[in-house]
Amino acid sequence: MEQIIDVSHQCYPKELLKIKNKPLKLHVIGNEKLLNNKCIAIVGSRNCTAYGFKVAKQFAKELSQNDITIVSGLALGIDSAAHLGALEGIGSTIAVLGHGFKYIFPEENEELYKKILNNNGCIITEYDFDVEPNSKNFPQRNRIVSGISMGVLIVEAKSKSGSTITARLAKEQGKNVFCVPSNLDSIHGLGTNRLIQKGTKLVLGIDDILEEYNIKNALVKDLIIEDKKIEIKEEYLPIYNLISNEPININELCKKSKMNISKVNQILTMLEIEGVIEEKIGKEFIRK
Amino acid sequence: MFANWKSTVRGKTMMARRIPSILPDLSFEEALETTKIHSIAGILPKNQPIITTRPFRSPHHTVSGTSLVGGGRIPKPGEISLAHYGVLFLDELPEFKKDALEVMRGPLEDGLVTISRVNATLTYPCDFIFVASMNPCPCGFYGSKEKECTCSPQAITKYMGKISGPLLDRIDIQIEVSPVKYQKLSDDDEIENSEKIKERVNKARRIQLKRYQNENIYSNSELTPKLIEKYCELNENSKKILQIAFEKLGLSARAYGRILKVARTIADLDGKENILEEHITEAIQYRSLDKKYWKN
Repeated sequence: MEQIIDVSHQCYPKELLKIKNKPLKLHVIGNEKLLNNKCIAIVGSRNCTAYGFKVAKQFAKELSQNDITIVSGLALGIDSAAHLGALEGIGSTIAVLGHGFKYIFPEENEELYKKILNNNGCIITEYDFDVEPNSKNFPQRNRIVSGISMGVLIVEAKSKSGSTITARLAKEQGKNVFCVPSNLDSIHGLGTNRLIQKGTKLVLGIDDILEEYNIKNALVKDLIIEDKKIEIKEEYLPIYNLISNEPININELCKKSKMNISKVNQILTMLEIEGVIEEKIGKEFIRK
Repeated sequence: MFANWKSTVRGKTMMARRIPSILPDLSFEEALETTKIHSIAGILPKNQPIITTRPFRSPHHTVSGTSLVGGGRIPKPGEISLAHYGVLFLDELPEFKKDALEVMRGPLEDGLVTISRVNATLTYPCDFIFVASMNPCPCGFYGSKEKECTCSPQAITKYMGKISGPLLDRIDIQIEVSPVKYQKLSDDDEIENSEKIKERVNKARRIQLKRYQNENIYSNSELTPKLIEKYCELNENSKKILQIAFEKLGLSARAYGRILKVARTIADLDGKENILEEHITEAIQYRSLDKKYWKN
């Protein structure tokens, strides 16, 4: 159950000791040993795109498989993706809350909250039990997210957002900051692209993060860039080939494939069942 | 029953208003019954002694529960009964009062509504196609590429939550429509026109009438679980597809019968005697709201 770890406690994260304005005590639920693991924070927009969600999850999973603990803020969007990805990997993940343990915020993440604890993860906060969720506390919380980590990966951030604040804090704390590039026409990626322009390291895969810490990637290959070889039945190919990592609408699919809607629907269901594509909001499809 | 949701101001209302143009012809018995109800309600036009087309009712979202199901000192038929053998269209479904929507649940299932008042207890038929439309979020742009959605995740959940699960479950076909530019609409020359669609619908109805001649029902939508077993038999392969779909795509268990009924209808439209894999796979695509992807 909940325990309180103060600065003198052996489990108090060593990385966090180094920062100014560190919290004097942390409330911890779950596996407190994670706090002194090698940690990487993954943060980003709550309103993320399908691309951002996928990338964040992939990075988290692969980093986790390299025995790195993923730190994030249990918010919706990229934060959820980060925790979920870590759970798909080895599973060690730390969620830093901006309020007391009395509340689970946002409500939608209650399931994720339990999942983290059930998988030997850890949830921490600097706030007392009954401090309510209040958005003014969240930027404060970000200093802990970056503080306990060796580096911060930002996946999608709008130009002025919590994630860009985290990036600034992390730099002040002397941490490495990494950014995933986004499309130029995406508002959700404006902040990250801007950070890259100003000299933040652009990462293409986890290797780019691991090399900063002289850690060797235990995985065979960088999965993101690798061309997946999937066997697709020939009759599904005309549709499958039209679907890429950019969401495409079902109407476009009909038009481009010159098939009627019922045929397209049939093929989409089969491809979904085979797990090679995924449906997104607005009847749009992307490759998995 | 079907609902569609869309992400900008164009399309869905127009689409719903076109529905009467593809509805199957009204049979003589159906016409008499519809006329009776309209006559009781006192809205039968003077110059039209019998109603020959299927009614299309679209009450405004300020409608009360009583005027929806019927009521009054001596109960008069409500909108759902006036839509008997026709269409009840509720535009912007989440804007309707919650209690007004919930009173429809029973009648939707039974095709009948019994209204009790001091002076009389009356039962009116209400066998209608329920069509509804809604936005994906209060601002209408969630998931849109052109404009950014300004709603908070909580606002979206609240908006979706205005429609109860049991009501959503009763909707057989759920389709997402994305914004269409006018030019794109008029450019398409291969679009099947309403007359042709109506021909297909009528043909499918005839198949159904013939199939159910001994069952005391007219169409696939009236199939009971027992009759589903009898008339919606699947081959081994289709069963497997459906099973995997339930496991992998997170469909709700209540969707099972509805998918089978829709697949049966697709097969009828296709002129096939048995439900084939392609009919099942198509029907699965019409359960958009079951897949909870908007939560990511």
